Formats: sequence, structure tokens, C-alpha cells
Amino acid sequence: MYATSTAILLALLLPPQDGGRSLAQQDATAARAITQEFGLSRWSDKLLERSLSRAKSSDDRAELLLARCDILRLKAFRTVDEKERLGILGEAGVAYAEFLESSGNSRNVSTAQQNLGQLTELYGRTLSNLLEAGQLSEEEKTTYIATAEEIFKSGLKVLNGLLDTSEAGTLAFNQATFSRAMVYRYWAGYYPADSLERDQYANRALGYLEEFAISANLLPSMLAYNATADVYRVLQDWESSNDFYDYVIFNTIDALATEEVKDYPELAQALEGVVQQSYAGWLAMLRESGNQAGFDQIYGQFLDWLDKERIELTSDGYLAQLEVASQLVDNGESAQALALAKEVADNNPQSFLRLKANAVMGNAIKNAPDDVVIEISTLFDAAEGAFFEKRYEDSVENFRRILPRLSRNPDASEYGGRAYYLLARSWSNLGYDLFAALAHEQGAKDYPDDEDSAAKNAVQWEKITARFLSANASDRAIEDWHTEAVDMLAALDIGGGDVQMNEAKRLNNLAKSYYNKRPKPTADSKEGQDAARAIRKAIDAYEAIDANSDSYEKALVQRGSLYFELGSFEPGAYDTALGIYNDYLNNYITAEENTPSDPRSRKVRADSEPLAAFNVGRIYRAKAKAGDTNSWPLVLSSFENLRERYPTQQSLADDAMRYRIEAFLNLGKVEDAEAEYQAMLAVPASDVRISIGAFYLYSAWAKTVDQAEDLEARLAAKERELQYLHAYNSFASNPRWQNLLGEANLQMEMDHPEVASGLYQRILNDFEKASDMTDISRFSARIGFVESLLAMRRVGEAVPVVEALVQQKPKNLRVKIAVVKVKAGFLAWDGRNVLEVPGEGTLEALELAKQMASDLVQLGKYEAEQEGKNPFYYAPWWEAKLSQAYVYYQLGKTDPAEAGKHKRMIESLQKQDPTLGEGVAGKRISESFKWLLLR
Amino acid sequence: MILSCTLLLPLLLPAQQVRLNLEDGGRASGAVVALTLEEVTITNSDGDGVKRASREILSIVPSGMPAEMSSAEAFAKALDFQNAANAFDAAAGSVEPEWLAAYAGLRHAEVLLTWSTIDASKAGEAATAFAAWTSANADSYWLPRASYGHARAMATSNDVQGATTKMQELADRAFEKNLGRHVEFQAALVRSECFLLGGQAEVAEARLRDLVVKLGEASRDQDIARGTRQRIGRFQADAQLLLGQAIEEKDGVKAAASYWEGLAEARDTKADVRAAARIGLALAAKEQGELRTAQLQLARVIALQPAKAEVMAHALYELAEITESLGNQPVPAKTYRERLKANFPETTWAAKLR
Repeated sequence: MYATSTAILLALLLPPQDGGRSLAQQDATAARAITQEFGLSRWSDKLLERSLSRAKSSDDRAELLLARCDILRLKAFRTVDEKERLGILGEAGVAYAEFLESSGNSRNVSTAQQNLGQLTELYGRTLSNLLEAGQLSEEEKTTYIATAEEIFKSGLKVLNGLLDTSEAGTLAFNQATFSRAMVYRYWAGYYPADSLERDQYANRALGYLEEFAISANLLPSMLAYNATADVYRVLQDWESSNDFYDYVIFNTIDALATEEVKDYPELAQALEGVVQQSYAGWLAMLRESGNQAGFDQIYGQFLDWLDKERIELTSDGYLAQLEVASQLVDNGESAQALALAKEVADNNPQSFLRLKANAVMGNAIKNAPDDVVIEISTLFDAAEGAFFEKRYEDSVENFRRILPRLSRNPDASEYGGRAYYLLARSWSNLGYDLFAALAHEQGAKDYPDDEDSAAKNAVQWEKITARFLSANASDRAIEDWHTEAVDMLAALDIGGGDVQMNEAKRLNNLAKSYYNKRPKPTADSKEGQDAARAIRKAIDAYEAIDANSDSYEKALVQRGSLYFELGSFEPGAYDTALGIYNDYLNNYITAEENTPSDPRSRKVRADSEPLAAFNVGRIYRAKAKAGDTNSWPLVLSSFENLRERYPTQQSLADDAMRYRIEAFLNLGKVEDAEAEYQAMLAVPASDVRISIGAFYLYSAWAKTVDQAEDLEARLAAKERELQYLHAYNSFASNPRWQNLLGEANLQMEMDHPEVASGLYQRILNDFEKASDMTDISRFSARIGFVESLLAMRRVGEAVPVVEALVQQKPKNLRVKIAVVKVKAGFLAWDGRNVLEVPGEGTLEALELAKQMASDLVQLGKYEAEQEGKNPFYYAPWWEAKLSQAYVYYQLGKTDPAEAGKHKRMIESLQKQDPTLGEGVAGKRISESFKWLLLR
Repeated sequence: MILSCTLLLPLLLPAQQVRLNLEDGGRASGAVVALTLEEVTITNSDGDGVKRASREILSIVPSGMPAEMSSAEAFAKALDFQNAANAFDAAAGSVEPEWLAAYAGLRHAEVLLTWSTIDASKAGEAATAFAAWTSANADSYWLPRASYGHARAMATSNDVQGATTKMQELADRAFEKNLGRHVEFQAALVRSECFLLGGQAEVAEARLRDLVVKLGEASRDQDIARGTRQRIGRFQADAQLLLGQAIEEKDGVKAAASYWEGLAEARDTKADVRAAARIGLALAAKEQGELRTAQLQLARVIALQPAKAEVMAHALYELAEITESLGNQPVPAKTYRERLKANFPETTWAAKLR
């Protein structure tokens, strides 16, 4: 092998050795040698390909093309499988044609022409054999016959050319004549009986053969007459065919008896071959014509001759035997047919005869009645032969016929498992996975003691059904089928716990897909029942894992998790889960025999123990949330110091802390909850977990706000509410706009317009187009943004937003208020001083503001009346009046007709309420009025 | 043609020959001298005439037929009924010798009968053809065969009375002229089949139950020649299948399930029958809505059981239907239809697809 590789490498890598022969010539020689000596045609192809890409002259190119032709020719001759040979011959034919088109070297052209002529004949013969043996599908027949026609046309052209240029009587001339005749002989057979083409080509063949035979010596003339008999057979002229076979055999046997022939052993051997060839053809003709009596007689004669002359069978002699075997099949003598065909196969292991014999054996088996006793080894060999020859339809047929016989056969156990396996593989190769799975299943079940085959069958059974299941996850029948396969693997001790664990994991994932659906299925819904069923199936799968298996500990903990999930649908399952975990934590891991002894099991322990401890807390939490409030303290104790107990389990510890916050809050221990939260911040726990903790606290404080009895308490609670909501949003990885809007509104409420403004802007930038954002929320964000800007006295920034809001909701109260402020400006109060915040201030703007302000006053009055109040006791009315006054003030500055109007209005109010609304609407209102009075 | 001498065997000139399947399981071949209802004469390899009583011959098959007959058979094999019928009809008027022409006529009628399984309107034509043939060939060896076809054609054309009477007459004649147990039994079988074809499932069931038992006994009777026993065994298989069909028609698919189950599990059930029984079980499951179960049962038949082409084709046909109902899982239905058309093109199930 090493020497071979070196030789090839050298051929590929070495530069030209001498200047006499070109590199192309050397490469051509090397390529031929590589195939000739080592049979490595692929390497030869690569060498030629590379060389062709570098070839500069047409001579070099021709040299390389011819080498390619020769390699293909050699490959074809060496190929045993006729179908494969046909393909290679086709390629070779094309290669020769390509060479002849491009070549100018007369020596090479002549050789190539002769080779092409021979190849054409060989193509014809090979295709003829395949057609006669019925080994081609209709599609293949059409394709190959079409190719044959192309090859014949170019081949005949070459042969005719050779005949024109060669001298009569020379070897080249004779060979070309014979080849031409044979091409027509084969070509005729491709057409239906009685067709014009068959008739025409056959008669051409007859003419050429006669012409050849007349002037040829003994051997070639006998071959020609033999071919003539074959042609008559094609024409179904039985009488003439009969006469010619008879003639060839008689005269050749006669010649063999002469001294002249006896002196030439090689000639004698060749003539013996001709006799056998004739007998083979004759028997085929007799069989085809249905002449049973004649067939029996001629076969008898053949056997007598072989026996008397002690003749060794040639391949044609074996073909004759196979004709007899086929006839025996036709006669219903299957057992004899099998025996004969097997003999041919055994004597020709590496030849195409073996393939033909296998085909005959297959036919014999197919036609054998059920009660015929056939050695199972014979049956099996035929079927197996078909499998390895890739005749999968035949191997299916043959193996199927073996199966019913197995039950009656004492050797069944030796063959049964493998028969099912190869049957299944045949189905797989034909593309029928369902049939393959069934065959594997039956093989595994019927022959579990055949270790090798049982294992292979079971493994494939599981693989195929797993594929089906992944495409049909909800199909119960397929799931059960796959489970059966997994159980078989376990029973055969294949794959160990891993197989079962994989199955359990698969069921676990399936169960998750059910119980993780959103919205979460309820216990009494169909989805809930499906989920419960899936969980139980997964539990069963984990329970099936043997206690001695490496996967047992993981399976145990996972069972606990599944019972925990089951608790959502069957509350009693929580206690089962608790039982499993407590048993695991208190008994299993403390038992000496369960001490992990290798890195893998130590890792399993390191992962499983904290998870179990954590899940205990989760179970108590689930029970508490389901109504068992006594479980909250157990939640606290279960999760206490989890981080210290399992320092590597950061995320579990973080979760433990946020669950403790929840538990504290449910027990009314707000301070403890806040202390836990602070501890989370101090660690620091992960942002996500902190955000959840913050959310719990925010929710708790929001409830407190609602329940606050006085304003002070309410404000204090609101501060905390805001604090935690802000924390929640800050730590959440993707805060929801709803929560951001809630915070923004709270921030405004708590007088943090800067923070609120930022939040509003973020919402409008990032979420305005969100699919779940309603128009109301969108408006809320916009108006909130405007109000925050106005609170910060950034009127200019608010203008475009207000303009848009006016278009959207012109009648909205908050919009009107904003419009007035933006158009006319407004008065702000910093706690001590009144500050003027200018607006647009144009006449048009002021007119609009005036209208809006008047609307606001009317609205304020209306609302006051609705509440049964005098407007003077209604704060929003005072706000409206202030807006109106300011608008008049601004108008007065522009329009003399309006000058002083604001003063008159305020003075009028003062008469009604000297405090100018301070007691109802606050100091800001009264100071603002006073400021206006002075203007 | 250049021939200087020939070998010694003039008889090798292949005359029109026949192959005889004999009651002892053996075969004989030769050129026909006479083929009558009670006796057949052929020439042996020595050229001598050999007479055999018809009862010794289970069937006669012409071999090395002329091109027009071969061509007609090819059409028939391909279920190209029109061309087959025309070709046989033409051959009946042109081939020689006379017995072969008669055989062509018989085949013509048989093709029409097969055609009627797809196109029921051909049954009448088939009946007419058989009637003409039996009238013209009343003493032919093939008269029983023609009578079976005639009866089936009549039953399909709703003349159950005529069909069953014909078979009774044939059975009587077979007994009287000692034509062989196989003829009597086949007549009984075809008679029962005619009841079924004519919609009289109850009558058919009763007769078939009885016949199955009798055929079973005869197939094990060592006093009967081996070849005849094998033939009777095949009749038993056919009777078992017909019985299943009768039960299905009478009581429904579900009711037939227990019958099919018994047949499928019995040790001595022939492969074809076992396969057909499993198909029956699958169809029962299908009727109960257990489509996946039915699918796997049918697939199991195809995957693991040897069966003749019609049975396998039936299984593929049903499998495709059910797979389509199951949303083409796990393998698309068209896979099975393609296999049916490619591998069993000559079956009536493939013809249905076309």
C-alpha cells in the first residue's frame, strides 16, 4: 500500500525526466500503468485531468485523450457488474469519439478506431445481456437504448471508415467487418418483434456475417455462423436458427477431432469455446420457442459431449447451465434450478456469471411453491447476493420469501435475525423507511438471542421511529411504537441508561411544551389534562431508569421537578415532590454507597443537590400561593442562606432571595422584605432577580397607597411605591412600556418632571409603534410628556407635540390646558415667587388661547355643578380662571381694547372671594392672581 | 444460407407445442394431436402420440406461440384490454392450428371478463363471448375453464341463477365423465363466487364455509395426487378469501375482523391468504377510526409478507388511502401509489389508479 501510494505520488509530483518524451506522453503512460497495475483508475483520472489542463499542443492533448480512452476501456473490461460496465463503456465510447475528433496522429487514430469498434460491439453485447436477463427498468431501457444508438452510430461510422481504409483480409479489416455485423446483430434485438427496425438491422447483420464467414478461416467463420444463428433467433426464425447452431456444433466438433486442430491446443480451446457458445445460444432459442423436448435433447447432448471429451466449462458453458436452470424454473423444478444455479455461482465467485446465477436463484425462489424444501442457506445466499449487488427489489422479494420458511426450519436462528436486518436495509435503500422500521422491529422481536442482529435491528428500529416521532410529536401510536423500541434496547442492554435517559429527556421536553403553554393551562381544561398526561409519561420514563444506572440520580431529581409541575394540575403531586426531594436530600445523598466516586458523578451531585434543595422551597411557595398560607414560613426557611450553602449556585441563590422577599411581604413583614432586597443589592444579585424583588415591593407599596388613611401616609407610601417601580424598571433587562408609563406618571405626580420627561420620551421613541400600545396609552404618554415639559418651563419643546395633540383630541381637557399654556404662556410658582413663562404670544395664538380658556372655565363650572359645588369651591375652576386671566393680560398687551380686562376679572373674583381661591386651590393661585393685578 | 450437413434430429423443428401440468406435479410437453374434454393426445420426443385422460392434466399451456398471440398476451398483461381483446379476436380468426385458434377465442372472452372488473358493462359482452365459445367448442379440453369464465360473466351481469346452474351442470358432468376432482371443486368454488358476485352474500357464506372444510380435507388426502392436492390447496386459499368477503358483505367489515384474525393467526394459512387476512384486519381497524393501527398493519403486510401481485397491490392501494387521511405521515401517500404503479402495473389496483 505504501509502495503504491509512493508510486502514484511520484507520478503526480515528479518533473519530466528527459527531453525525448513530452510530459504529456509520460503522464499518459503513467496513468495507464496506474490503472493497469494497481487498478486505481480514479488516480489515473486525476493525473490526466491535471495534465490536460496544462497540455499546450494538440499532439499532447491527443495523447492524453487516448490514454483516458484506454483507461476507461480497461476499467470496463474489469468490471463484473454488467450495468456498471455499460455505464463505463458509454463513457469510453464518448471519450474515443472525442479523441478521434481532435487527433491528427495516424498511428493512434487507427488503434483508437479499432478499440472503438470493439467497444461498440461490447456495448451492444452487454446491453443485450441485460435486456435478455430482464434486469433493466423501463426507464433504464429507454436511456440505455438511446445511448446505444448514439454509440452505434459513431461506432459504425468509425468501422465503415476502417473498412474503407484497411486492406481486405488484414486483421483490422476482419475485426471491423465482424464488429460491424455484431453491432447490427445486437441492435436488432433492441426493437420489438415484427418491427421494421428489427427486421432491417437483423438482415443487415445476416448479410455482413455471411460475407465475413465465406472468406474467413475456421474459427472466425464458426463464430460468424454462430452469430447468424443468434440473429435468426432474434427474428424468431426458429428453423433457421436451429439449423445454424446445429451446423456450427457439428462442424466444430468435427474439426476438433482432426489432427491439425489437436496440434494447436490454443485453437482447440477456442473451438471448444465456440461449441459451448453455440450450445448456450441453442438452448436459449429452444427455451424461447417453447420447445421443451428439443431443449431436453440438446442439453443431454451437451452433457454427453462435455463428459466424453472431458471439456472444462467456459463462461458460455456456464451460461448454458443457467439456461437449463431457468428452464427448470419454468418447469416448476425450483429446487433443482436452485442447486444448478448455485453451482454456477460457487464456481464463478468473481465473475458476472455469479450475478446472473444469483438472478436465476432469485427467480427460482420466487416461483417455488411454499412446500418445496429448499436449503435455507441457499435461499439466504441468493437474497444476500441480491442485496450486495444493490438489486434491492430482488433482495426484498427474496428475503420476504425466506421469512415464512424460517418457522419450519431448524437453522432459523442462524439466519433469521440477519434476514430481517438485510430486508430492512433493502427497504431503506429503496426509500421506504416505514417498511424498514417494521422489518427491524420484527427481527429484533423474533430473534433476540442473535446478539449481533438483534442489536442492529433494535438500534435501527429506534432510530427510524424517533425520526417519525420528531415529525409527529403528538401522534400516540407512533410514540408508543418508539417507546417499544426504546424498551427493546433496554431489554437487550444496548445503550445502557443513556438510551432510556434520552427517551425520558425527550418526554420531559414534550411535557414542558404542554405545561409551558401560554396562557398556562388550567387543571380542568383539555390542555391541562394533556399536560398532566404528558408529565406522567415523562415521570414513568424517569422511573424506569435503573437504580444502578449512572443516570439514576439525575432522573430522581428530575422526577421531583416533574411532580412539582404536575402539582399545577393535581395538587396532591406537591407532596409527592416534597417526599422525593426530602428523601433525596436526607437519605440518598447521605448514604455512603451513593457517594460520588468519579468526576462525572461528582458533577451530577453538585448540580442535583442544590437544585433539589431549591425546589423544596419552590414547592412550599406553590403551596402557599395555592392557599396554604402556613407554607410561607417554610418558604423562608427553605431558602434561607442558600447562597452560603451552595456558593456555586448563583442564580438559584438569587431566586431564593427574591422568593424570600415575596414570602416576607405575604407575611406582612415589609421591613424584612426591604432588608432582603437591600441584601440582594449588596451581593449584588443578578439584575433580573433584583428587578423581580423590586416588583414585589412596588406591588406591596402600591397596595399600601390605596389603603393609606391620610395624605401624609399616602405620600410616604407613594414615595416607596415610586422608588421600587423605578428600581424594577431600571433593573429589568427589557422593561415594558406599561411599567415605564406607570413610573412616568408617578414621577409627575411626585413632582419629578425631569425624570418623568425622560421616561415619556423614551416611551415615545422606543414603544410608540409597539403592536400592543393602545391609542389611549399613546395619548397618555404624549400629554404626560407635554405636561412634564411645561412643568420644566420648556414651552418651545412642547409646541410641536401640542400641535399634534390638538389635531388628535381638540376637546380633551388636558390638551386644552396645554394649548392655553403653550399659546399664551402661563404663570409658574417656585414656592416663593411667581414666574412668568411666555408662550407663543401671537395675536392668533392668544385668540385661540382665549377660546380654550373660556372653554376651560365653562367646563370647570360644569364639573363643579355636577359635584354639587359652587365653582368658587372647586380648584379646577380657579385654575381655569387663572389661565383666562393670564390670557386677558397677554391680550391686553397687544390689543388696547383688551387692556385691563384681566384686572377687572380678578377684582370681580376678589369681591366674591378675597383670598382669590387660596383656600381651595392653594397659594400658587392666589399669588398668581395678585401678580396679575399688579400688571 | 450455407449448410453442408446437419445434425440428426429432425424433430427439433419446433412445431406449436403445449406444456401439460400433470396431477402428479410433473410436466409434459409436446406437439398437440388432440385436445378433447376427456382425452388429450400429444407427440413425445420420439414422435409418438401419447394419450392422457383429461383428469390427469391440471392445465394445458401453449408455448412458443405465434407473434400475434404473444402480442395479445402482452396487451393482456399490461391490462390494455381493448387491444388485447381485439388481438385475441383477430388471432382466433387467423392462427393455426385449429385448437390454438380456439384457445385464442377463449382468451378473448377471458380478457373481456377481466375488463369487466374495471368496466362492469363489459360483463355482458364477456358472457356472450363465452356462450359462443362453449357452444362452438363443446368437446374442448378447455370447456371447464370456459365455463368458469362464463359463469362469472353471467353472475356479474346479474344472471346469478344462470351462472350457478351452469356450475352445477359442470360439476355433474365432471363427476359423470370423471374429469377430475379439481374440476368438481373448482366448479363448486366458482358457484359460490357467483352467489357473492350476485349479491347473495348469505348463501355464498354458507356454501363457502362448507367448501373451505372440504377443500382442506382434500388438500391433505394422500390418496389424491400431489399436483391435484396443490391445486386444491390453492382453491382452499381462494375459498377462504371469498368467505371473508362474504362475511364482510353480509355483516360488515367489523364483523369480518374476527374471521380475518383467525385466518391470519392459523399456522397452516398460505402466505397470500395470510396477507389478505391482514389486509382485512387493517380495513376493519380503519372502519373503527383506528387509522394509524390500520396503516401499520398494511405496512407490515407489504414489508414482511410474500404475496401475489394482486394482494400486494391491494395493500399498497389501501395504505396510500389511509396515509393520505393521516396527513401523509410518516411517509407521503404518493410514495405508495408510485410503487403500486411501477411494481404492479398489471393489477386491477394499478388500473384503478390510472
